[in-house]
Amino acid sequence: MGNLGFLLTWQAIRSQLAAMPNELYLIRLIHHQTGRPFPGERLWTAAQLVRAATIRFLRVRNGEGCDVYIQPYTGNQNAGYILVDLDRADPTAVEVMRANGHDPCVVLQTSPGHLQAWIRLSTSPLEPAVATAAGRHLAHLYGGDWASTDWRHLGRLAGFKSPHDGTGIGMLRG
Amino acid sequence: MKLVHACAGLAPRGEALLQSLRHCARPPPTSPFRCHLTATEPGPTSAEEATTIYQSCMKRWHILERFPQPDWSIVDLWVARYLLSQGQPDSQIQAILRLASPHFPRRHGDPDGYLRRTVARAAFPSPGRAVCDDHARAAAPLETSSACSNSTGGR
Repeated sequence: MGNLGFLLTWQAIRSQLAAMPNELYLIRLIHHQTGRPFPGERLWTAAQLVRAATIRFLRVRNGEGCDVYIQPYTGNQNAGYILVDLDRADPTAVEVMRANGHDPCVVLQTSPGHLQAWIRLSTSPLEPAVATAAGRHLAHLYGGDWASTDWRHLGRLAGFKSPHDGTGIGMLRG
Repeated sequence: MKLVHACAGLAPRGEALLQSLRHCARPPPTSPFRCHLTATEPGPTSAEEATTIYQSCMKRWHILERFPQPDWSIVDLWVARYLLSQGQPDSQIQAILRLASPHFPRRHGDPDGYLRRTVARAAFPSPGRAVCDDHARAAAPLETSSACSNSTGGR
């Protein structure tokens, strides 16, 4: 399982990063039970993130109970990606997003009935106020969580266990 | 955790959304109903403006507190009735509902027809009770004209 698990994690991370390209990514590790962040925040390039040593490090932390979060990073601005946290949202929410021209570039199922969608609105950085307004607007439209609409909200990184899902690591379905 | 979709690309209407948000972000907000609420100045409604108006109504009427799973077509009707009472033109109301009604167009096969019917129905006097049975059971009928009259509500 070790090699297969590593391979699946690597594949899932690579797919997510390819779908949301950015120069740098902020990675944050939060211990699920205590809510405490693992010391340090990491800014990595996509190439650094898919290195074997990085993935092993993250998998060990995940095995210790840390959730792994990611955000495309552009300093004091938003990188152009908006997270919509669909907690118990309408199952058709993603279809409606597409119908409205708000196609997500990444959709993660973090637990049954709970999706996270990243929507890329711009290739250039967004002012925090505009990004937050966009997050609120999209959350309102699609039944997303309003608590997750600030301009630098982090979402889950694919390929790791979530305490809620019980399904193991991420698999690319489509 | 499953990666159910991964495909790089911009949302086709992302730029339009950003433009409308930037347009609305310029003047500082002074009132929850600040956006084009005069019949003499209908103007194009931005997504942010529409959302502000719709959410102001929802908050003022405590929709989510009263109805855990609201029938959005009923809320649309109430919002339309209120906006008509404020002198908003039909086209403006339809635009607000289109931009801000949650999950719109939901399962409507003819979204334009739905918006026209909703605004047309809102033009008739309120029957004095909720249209939706579920809503009628959940709470007393909401008289929109009085429910919306307090301009200090909203966010």
